[in-house]
Amino acid sequence: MLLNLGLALLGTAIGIIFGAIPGMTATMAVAVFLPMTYAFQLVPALYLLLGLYVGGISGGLIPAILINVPGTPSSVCTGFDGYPMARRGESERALKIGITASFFGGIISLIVLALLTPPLAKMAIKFSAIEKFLIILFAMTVIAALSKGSMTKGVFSGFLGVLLSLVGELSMNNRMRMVPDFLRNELRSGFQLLPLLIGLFAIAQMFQEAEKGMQSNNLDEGVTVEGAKKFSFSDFKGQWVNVIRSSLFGTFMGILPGVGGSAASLIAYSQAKSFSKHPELMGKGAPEGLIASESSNNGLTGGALVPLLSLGIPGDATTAVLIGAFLLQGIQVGPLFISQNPDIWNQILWALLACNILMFVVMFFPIKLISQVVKVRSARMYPVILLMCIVGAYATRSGVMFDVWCLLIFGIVGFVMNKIGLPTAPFLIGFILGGDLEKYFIEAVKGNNYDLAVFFQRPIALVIWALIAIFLGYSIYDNMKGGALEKMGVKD
Amino acid sequence: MSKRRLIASVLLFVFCFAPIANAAVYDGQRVRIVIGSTAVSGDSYMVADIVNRYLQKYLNCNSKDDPVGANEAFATIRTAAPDGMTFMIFHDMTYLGVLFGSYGEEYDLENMVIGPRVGQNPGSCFAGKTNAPYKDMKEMAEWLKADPKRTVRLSVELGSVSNLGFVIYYVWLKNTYGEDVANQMRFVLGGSTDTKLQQLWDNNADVIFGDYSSFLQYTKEGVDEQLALRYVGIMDRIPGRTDLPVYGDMGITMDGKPLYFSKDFLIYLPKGTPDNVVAELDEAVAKMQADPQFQEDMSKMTYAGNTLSSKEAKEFIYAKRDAIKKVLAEAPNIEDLE
Repeated sequence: MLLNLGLALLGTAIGIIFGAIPGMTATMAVAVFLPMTYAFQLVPALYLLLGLYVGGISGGLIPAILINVPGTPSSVCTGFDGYPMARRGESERALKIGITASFFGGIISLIVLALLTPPLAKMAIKFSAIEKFLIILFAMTVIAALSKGSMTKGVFSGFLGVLLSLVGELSMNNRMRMVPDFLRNELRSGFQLLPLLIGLFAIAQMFQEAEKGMQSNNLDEGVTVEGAKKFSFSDFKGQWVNVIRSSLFGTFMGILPGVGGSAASLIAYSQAKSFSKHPELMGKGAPEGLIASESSNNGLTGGALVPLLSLGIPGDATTAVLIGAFLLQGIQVGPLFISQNPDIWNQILWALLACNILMFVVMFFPIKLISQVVKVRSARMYPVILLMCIVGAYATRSGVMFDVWCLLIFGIVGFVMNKIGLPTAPFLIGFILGGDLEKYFIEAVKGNNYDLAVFFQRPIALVIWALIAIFLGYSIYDNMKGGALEKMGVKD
Repeated sequence: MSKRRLIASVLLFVFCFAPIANAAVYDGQRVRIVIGSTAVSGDSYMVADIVNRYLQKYLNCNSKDDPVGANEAFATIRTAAPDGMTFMIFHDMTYLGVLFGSYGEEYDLENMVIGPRVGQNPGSCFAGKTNAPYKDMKEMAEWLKADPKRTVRLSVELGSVSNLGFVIYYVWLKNTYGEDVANQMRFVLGGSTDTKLQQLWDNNADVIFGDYSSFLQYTKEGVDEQLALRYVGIMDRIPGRTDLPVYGDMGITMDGKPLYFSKDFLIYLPKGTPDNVVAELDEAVAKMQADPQFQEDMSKMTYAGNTLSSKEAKEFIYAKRDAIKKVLAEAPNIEDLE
């Protein structure tokens, strides 16, 4: 047992480091350590790998909050509110809120995994390509929520992102799209998410800072860390519905194979904004946005194990790597796994609980030190961040130099977009979701003789359409109301 | 220089440099093994991982699996230094990708150095639902023939072994039952195993291609009817399983002979890799083949530890490619059967 806990601790700590380095992900962490687990029995191997998984997902919040660079794609929304908080000097508070929300998200998804795996697995296979397409479309409506005051620009930017996601080889017919001949090899699988994400956020920000003249540090003018608001568990007062809703969103999205963590945090974030009493504060440093993002992306961890362990189908990219651990030990995961391996099943639940607790302990207490990063002089910090970003981009496909060039090019693209007032977040969201949107659209219509009516024939689909309509209607109304108030000279 | 001095100098030279000339290339070196698949649960990774462990032992090197996917793996073999420190372990898709036109001729076998064969996977197969009106692909042919309006949707990937499984069956149907029956087959584009399983469960495909071991659990007693699968055609015999519908045993032929097709996993090296490097790999693979633990590890995963030296492997894979090229000439473009 001690060995298992030791491995879980090691896995969690290393996972956090992977998650915290922009460009490194939980999936990479699990893949790197997978061959080493051959030397272990399955149970200790699972403690190590689940630690890497939970740590890797959680570590992404650190750079998202401190330097506005999402460490992993699923922490995209974390920086929307976390970074403004850090600039106000509340980095320690923001990090602790994020860590606590991550912990709750992980525990709620674990409870769902333990109690509801068989019925949820049956439900998951009822979600065909039609419903998955609509869920991705629903996640895209967050673009409208993020574009308050400039909806046309936001939607345009989102569509640009979708367009860019379609560059590369179309797997339906193995033909290239929008790829110049001389880049056929480099762009066969399209632009890679991580260099684009890091370029758009981190590199563009560095260009901006360089243009303004480097500030002494990342804090807003006149702000000190010492005078800022401190974390207290009362920050979660009034947020329990948000925590539970967002965690369940994350868990649910994890249960649906092929719908990634980024979509989970986007939907949770936009729902938190819809239900918020002060939606105007979201995106400006509201803890509820941070809570929604972090509880949903950790909610994904338990959810993604549901289809893996009951159907043999991974819920996300990281659990797809986890299957390898079972196979290396000669164990098949699938519909008979839980009934034939009750001991391993119980150990997985204990391991996930241990990893979530260890993640909380490992991150919560030393975070005071890490949060001091905001005080470091930018002239010293930016070279380190730049180096980390380049290493991360280079590691995306195990050493492809083209990805480093993409990082720098998207840094310039982000800088130009900021200059001309085109928001970058919708662009990124369009890019993240565009590929899946197209994939499920084609699958849905192909499976139904190219009849578009299929999107309106199934009860679950109609419910999702209703949600999309309500949410879009609300966003448009909110945008118009905001515009009208602005015209009257009333500010948020 | 006197004769005696000359001899002494030559002897000294030989004495000093002989150890370097004979030194093992891989001894203590870091080696990158690229794998043509990104899935760590697939046979490409599993075979490469097992082989990697034994190569570490017999080459005394620090080698690392790198599951980068076909595109990156091919590109790596084209651009890596030909020093043997980077090589690829991959199956028949190496040449099938070019034959099916998914990859350009720059990736042809002639542009790589063929190393030894390190193993085989006989488990490439088609599976369908248990309530399908046919038990195997022979019965499927009869079922199609009985009513020209009937169709069967087979989910496969373009340019891969599954594409080949489809084409071989199509050509056999055409030659045995006529072109009209063969054209009742419908191609559905698949993806990873889980994507194909979902296509089957969503009723977007009737039969899906995959690996014997990946489907095994879905074929067992006690699986919910909605998830349950039945093997309808396996491309080669699986040791210990005589109850399975194997292509060759069902009478499915390629070029007039019963077809038994296993995926062959070979080591591929960059063009220009010196012979002594390949010879060292041959030696290590021969030791691996003789290791009973290697054979046990491979058979545990239903793979075969049948290796070939680089020379034999080259002749074998070229002949295999030529035979398949002949069949492809008879087959239509799979996308026309959508």
